[in-house]
Amino acid sequence: MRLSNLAASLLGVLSATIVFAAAGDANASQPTRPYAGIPGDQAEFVETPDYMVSVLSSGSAPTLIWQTLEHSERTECSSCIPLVAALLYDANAKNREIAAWWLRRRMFGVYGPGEVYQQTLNTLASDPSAVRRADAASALGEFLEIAGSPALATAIKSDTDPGTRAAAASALGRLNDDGAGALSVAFGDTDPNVRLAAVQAAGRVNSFVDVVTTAKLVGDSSALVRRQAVMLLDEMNATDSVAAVLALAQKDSDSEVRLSACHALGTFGDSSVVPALTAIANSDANQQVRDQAHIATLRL
Amino acid sequence: MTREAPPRSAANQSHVVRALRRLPHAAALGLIVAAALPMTGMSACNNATTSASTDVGVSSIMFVKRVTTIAGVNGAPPTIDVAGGNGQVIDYTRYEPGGSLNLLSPATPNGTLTNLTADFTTADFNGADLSFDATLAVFSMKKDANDHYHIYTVGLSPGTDGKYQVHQLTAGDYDDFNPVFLPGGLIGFATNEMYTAMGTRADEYEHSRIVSQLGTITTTGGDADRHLFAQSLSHSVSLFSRYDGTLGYSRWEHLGGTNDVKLFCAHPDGTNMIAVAGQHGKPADSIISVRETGPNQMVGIATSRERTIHAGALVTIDARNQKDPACTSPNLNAQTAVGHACLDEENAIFTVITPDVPTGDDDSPAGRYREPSVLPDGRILTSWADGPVNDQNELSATPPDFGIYVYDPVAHVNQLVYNDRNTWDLNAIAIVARAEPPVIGAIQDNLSATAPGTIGSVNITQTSLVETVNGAQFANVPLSTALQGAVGVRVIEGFSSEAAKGVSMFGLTMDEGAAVLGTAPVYPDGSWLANVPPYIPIHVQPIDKFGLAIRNQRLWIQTNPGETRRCGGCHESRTGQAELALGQNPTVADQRGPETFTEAIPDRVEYPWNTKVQPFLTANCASCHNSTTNGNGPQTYYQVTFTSAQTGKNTTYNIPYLDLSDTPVTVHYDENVATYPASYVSIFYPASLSMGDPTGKITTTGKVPPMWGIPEDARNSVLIQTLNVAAADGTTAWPLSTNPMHPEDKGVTVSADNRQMMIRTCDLGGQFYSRQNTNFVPYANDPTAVAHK
Repeated sequence: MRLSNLAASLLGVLSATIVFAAAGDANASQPTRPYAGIPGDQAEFVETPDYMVSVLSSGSAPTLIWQTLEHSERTECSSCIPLVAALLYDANAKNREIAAWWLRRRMFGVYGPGEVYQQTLNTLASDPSAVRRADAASALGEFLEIAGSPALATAIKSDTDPGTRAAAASALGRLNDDGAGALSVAFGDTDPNVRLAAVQAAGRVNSFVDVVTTAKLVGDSSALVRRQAVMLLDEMNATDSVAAVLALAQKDSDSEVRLSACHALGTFGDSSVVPALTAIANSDANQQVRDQAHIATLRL
Repeated sequence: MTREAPPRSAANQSHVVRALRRLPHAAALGLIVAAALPMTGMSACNNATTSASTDVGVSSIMFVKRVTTIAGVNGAPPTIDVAGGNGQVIDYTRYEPGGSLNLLSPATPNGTLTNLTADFTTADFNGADLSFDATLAVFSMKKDANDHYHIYTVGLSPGTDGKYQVHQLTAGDYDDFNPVFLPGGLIGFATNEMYTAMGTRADEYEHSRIVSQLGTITTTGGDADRHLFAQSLSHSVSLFSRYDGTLGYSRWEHLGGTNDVKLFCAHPDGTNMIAVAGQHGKPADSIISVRETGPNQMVGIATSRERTIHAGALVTIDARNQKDPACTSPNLNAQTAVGHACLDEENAIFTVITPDVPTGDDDSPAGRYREPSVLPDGRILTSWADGPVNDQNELSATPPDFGIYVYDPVAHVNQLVYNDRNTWDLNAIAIVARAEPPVIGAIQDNLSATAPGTIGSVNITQTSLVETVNGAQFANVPLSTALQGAVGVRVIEGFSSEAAKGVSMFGLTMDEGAAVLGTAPVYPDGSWLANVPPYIPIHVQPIDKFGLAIRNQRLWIQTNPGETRRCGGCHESRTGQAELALGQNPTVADQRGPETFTEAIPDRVEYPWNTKVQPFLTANCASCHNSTTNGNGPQTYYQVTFTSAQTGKNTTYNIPYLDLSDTPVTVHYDENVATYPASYVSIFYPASLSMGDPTGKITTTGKVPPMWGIPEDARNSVLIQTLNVAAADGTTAWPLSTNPMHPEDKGVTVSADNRQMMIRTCDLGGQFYSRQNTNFVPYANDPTAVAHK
């Protein structure tokens, strides 16, 4: 089993000097490591720093990178930090995600002045590449550090690139934070992808309750935004929006919007819409819309 | 371009192989590699090869096509997705347009292919199943890139218009997938729906994917009858129907240092969750894609959790109670099983029937298998792809070519049924009616999160675990003996970072967030009972008179509102008599009534380090253990030096040997992110560093810090030993001659409560954060539920 047979140090840090030895005044019967006694087929295994460096330095496949970093959760490897930090801007989304995950679990080398977190904030604020700024925004969300919320809110309001603004909105959803109202501001963005990202993110923020701003989006020019807005109203159980949602269910040109609207009407619990839903169940051109209208009547 | 995987040290070869070598009594654990199947003898091992097509013995099969390569537009190169969304066995988000659900009749390579979902040209699919009468299919489909996976049904006979009518049963801003038919018109499925009546949770690593839980709908009502099971802190996937009407599934288990995928089952109403197999030894880290071949007999995939694209070795699993002839009878069914403990997960027998296929993540010399099912004659219908079937496929941008085969376990030959080299051909099921299992009526008629569940044991000393306990008063004491000293059971709620807003991790630990719901007394007959909030993930620790955990339960359990989950003991024999016999007196716990552990979240006992533990340390310990002084001498330090590869700048962190003050160890940056106090680093960093081989390449200078605090193990934590602890009867956990009560020996008195606090901080997992020192937002309308819209 890996835990008991690692030859290389798990403690290192290529340039580190660590004072640690299996002697001194330690309890003689103390287990040699935490989580001892877990069967081998069930136990977490831990990667060595050398292995980490070899994987990260050799153009490895995303699934190998993911496995390596996930199982390096508790591996102290300061020389790995720059290698992992570079993955925050990798073309592969999974690499970016797991890189931020690993970095945020480090006690050292990430959150100090000039270190990775600060660098990520700086990248979001001023990198000339929109792609890098968007990746930085995503990373800030994945760091799960609430301190990044103001920077993301600023990006939502002022970044010139819609991709970055959308990434910043998504990152707020990941942080479970509305950015002091920034998400609601993003609902009015000129770019439909930003609006869509913001509404999706709002669905993940447990304190988001801005029904009024959400309801305005049922008239959005983008069908995707209308659909997402309806789903958000559904999640919020926004019963005051029954009339607007019913209108979508009956008349929207997009079948997915009508379908989502029917589902939301079932959630709202207003039985006055049953006749309308029954009519939709009998007459909509789309089978799946008819299905959802029927199911909604059952829910009511 | 193909690259070799970076060489690992010898120590890092397939950890499962090494684990198998280390497992004691492999025969007793029932791990049999390349042994004979019950029905045939095995020939000498050969690589699996394809052969001419075979007669599958049924007129038609149903299967899913999934796409890996998307043609480029306007001359752009094609997009190839090898492992996206399938990187781990518990991943389910893969989407590439162009998939379909199909019938093949006859079930031969040249059979007629009928696309049941032809109207959905940009769809992808995530599981399918066949109704018991073989007239209806249920499947999970995502219609386009902006959609979610939801549950649909389709009749297997066309309508008068020649079309196959597809009905959508679920909708919403989440994914529903891996559906299976259950008796009584139910469909079981997995979902990542957030903010349900039980709140929401992230998967153990707080990855962006929401933890998947189980649920049911009806075939006629869809979401109108949507019923969700209690959540765990990790994913549940890969559902299967069982002979007794229960719902089987694979569950990713992470609790502290445990990290694998095992089998469980539950009633269709979400109650009575029990283990099925994999909890006591298995040939791989993960067991997935399981189908029953008979009562408590299964076939599935044994593989590494990662890198193998949901594929691995074929394995049969026999979880029958071998000691009871009724359970091994070929006539066993749900009715004849009544009165017999026929499921013996502790002694489940695993047989790898594809011995040349790795059960880890190494390159395979014989391909890998996916999503097997069983033909009426008992043969295995399965998907298989040749080649390494791991990240090597990613590197070469060559997706494995999954086709449909019948596997011959005697000759080790895959007999071709169908293979379209342009698609993954998966999830093959024979179109044959099968007996419908009995309906298990729902006992849960209350969904309110305020209605408690009840947990307990008949006699906690009953155990089948062959383990020893060490530390404090125990020196290699069998667990069964140690449990006789249990005076209480600590009931612990687990929660993820989703519940602790703004927290990136809980601290220097692999453990999740923890709160003590309460400690139930163990009565003289060994019984205990407690009412707990429903739905939430819980694990328990029997504790001794000193408050030290005797053992830590390493899996999450949940109750539903009003459900009673009472164990026989502390992992009692699965085939022994655990329940009270008819006419037997109730336990003392029954007579006294259950303890009540249903406090609102803000009132649950948590140990936020900076607001609860640190004040105690500052008041009682820091005067002697601080940045300059450590007991009778000067404070000493060890150093971690970070050299930036980019700037060459060295940054050195001095870690104190034992500084119990709140002096910050790491530096702040402008955004004022909290850093760890010296006390927390001193106590838990040595253990964090030692999660590996402490005899590796280390330079030793100065004095050595022991593991002052070990997550989940107060009994072996040097800090606790140094403090020592006295029971109410005056005895101490360690002899006073070697471990005088400290700091009382220095004239400082520490209360029993504070000693218990330090014990619990270790036993709970050594977390720094809890909900009480983060931005946790409770659900306003339900004081027992977690954050909820």
